[in-house]
Amino acid sequence: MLVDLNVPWPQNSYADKVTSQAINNLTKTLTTMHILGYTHIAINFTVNHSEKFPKDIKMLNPIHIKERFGVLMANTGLKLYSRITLIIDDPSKGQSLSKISQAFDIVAALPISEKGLTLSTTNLDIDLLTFQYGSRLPTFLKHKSICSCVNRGVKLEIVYGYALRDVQARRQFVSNVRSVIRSSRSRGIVIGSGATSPLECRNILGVTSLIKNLGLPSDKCSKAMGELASLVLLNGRLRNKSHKQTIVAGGGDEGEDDVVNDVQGIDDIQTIKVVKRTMDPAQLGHASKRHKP
Amino acid sequence: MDRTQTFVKEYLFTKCLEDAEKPIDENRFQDTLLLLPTDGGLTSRLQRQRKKSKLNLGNLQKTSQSEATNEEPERRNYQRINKNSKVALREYINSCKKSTEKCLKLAHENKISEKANLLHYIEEKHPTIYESLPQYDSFVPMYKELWVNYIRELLNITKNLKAFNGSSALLKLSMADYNGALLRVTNSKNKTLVGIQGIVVWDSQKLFIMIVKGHLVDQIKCIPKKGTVFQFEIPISDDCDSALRYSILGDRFKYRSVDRAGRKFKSRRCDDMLYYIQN
Repeated sequence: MLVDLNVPWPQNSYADKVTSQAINNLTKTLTTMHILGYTHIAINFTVNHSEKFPKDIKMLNPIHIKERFGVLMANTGLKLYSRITLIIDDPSKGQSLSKISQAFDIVAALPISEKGLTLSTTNLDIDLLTFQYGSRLPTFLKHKSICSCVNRGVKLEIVYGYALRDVQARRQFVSNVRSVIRSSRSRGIVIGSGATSPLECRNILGVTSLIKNLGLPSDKCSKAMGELASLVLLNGRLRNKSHKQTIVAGGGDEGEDDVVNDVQGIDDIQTIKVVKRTMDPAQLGHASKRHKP
Repeated sequence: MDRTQTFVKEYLFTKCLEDAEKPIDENRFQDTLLLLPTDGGLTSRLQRQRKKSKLNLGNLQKTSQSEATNEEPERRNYQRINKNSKVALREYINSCKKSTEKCLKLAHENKISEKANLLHYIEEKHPTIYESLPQYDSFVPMYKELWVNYIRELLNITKNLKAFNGSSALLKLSMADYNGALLRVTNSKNKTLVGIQGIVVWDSQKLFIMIVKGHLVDQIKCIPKKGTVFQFEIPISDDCDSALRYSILGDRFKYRSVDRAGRKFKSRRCDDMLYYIQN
């Protein structure tokens, strides 16, 4: 299970139009990712928190994964998820997350001011905390606030796409990543690509060697793209598809169809899963004997 | 130390205190000393009388001579009911486990490989074992007639699913009763549990006690909720083939059904549930 939580969506606000060329480009990026061995990819829609959100829940998510990428998912076996990243500047202007989080699988926060950082580390209900690695961090990251945030279950994201663009961004990227690793004591770190074109995709070895140079142990690097990133997916999916992580809609027979992997089966609007009956009280109680004819 | 340790809270306080969050009531001391009126020596007189009526050898002989013997079975029955239900449940589970073990042994010794033959054999040769053997078929109506109808009524399931509200159904399911449900273990930290399917006999704080239909004998199994994911299906109607499927995350479900009814669940960090998505 190799996860990439950050493939940008070619829209920066709800007012922008999506061109078919941009979609084509995105599809190419996704196929490259698949060739490099990724199995679960989240498409990232970055938007300003103070922007006006549409009122209808169906309009909240512009990505429409099933319509646009259904064929790709069926052909390659990729699992695609939608993610929203809220740029948080002034917390007083933003609106509540509960409605927004219903439409997306993962909710991330990107603070660009000190106030925004304190808000998102303390009481926002998010899965991921990310930064703009191409420019200066909003404030000096303190171990106490970042680690309390990690203890709460929120993961920190490193986006390596910034290291592949221009020299200025690369310089900032190095210092920012080092400060993120330092302040979190290399706990709870997740690595995403942020690849806008197929050329910016890297496989797990390339990413590991880059991030290892910046001070994260290599075992944590591979965990950051596997286990921890899939926990982010689990956390995000459970928010919508379960009642407070107790009862989950769907769930599978063969161990394949859990909430995260079962992208197609669960009805998004009604959060139910209708299946053909497989359980019958007349069946034997043990699986190995049950499957025998 | 004003915060209680989690395991102390889970194991002791939830069982013996009304409010597990606040073990020590702040208003437990009263400023004034209360003097209650005495009853004029009534209690001490009663105690003396009770001492007299206690059993001793002389007493026993007298009663055995005078009274008829038909009182005894009634008293034993009374004791049986009044016994602590927890102890009784444990005894039931243990006796079931023992008798299934004996059954399997007998089957192996006599080389019986069919369920009907085995049951017939045991009924004839070992009636005491047969009596304490758990019978899966006697629990099937509990699922078919009671639980399925209960859950359908609770969720308002009709054939037309267009108007069905999924999120409120999830909320109701988190407070529902699972005694009598047909559950299947789909994922667990303990891989040997995966695939077990049975009818819930009792839903305790940390376990689902299920009766499992076996190839030779039916068994009672205690499956821990911790680290296990259960799946159940609600058939939409009796004659149609489709069903709604849900899973229970046992890690977040560790409450008795009584406590669960009025409970407000909270999302927590889910680092302990990595086993759920990893195969």
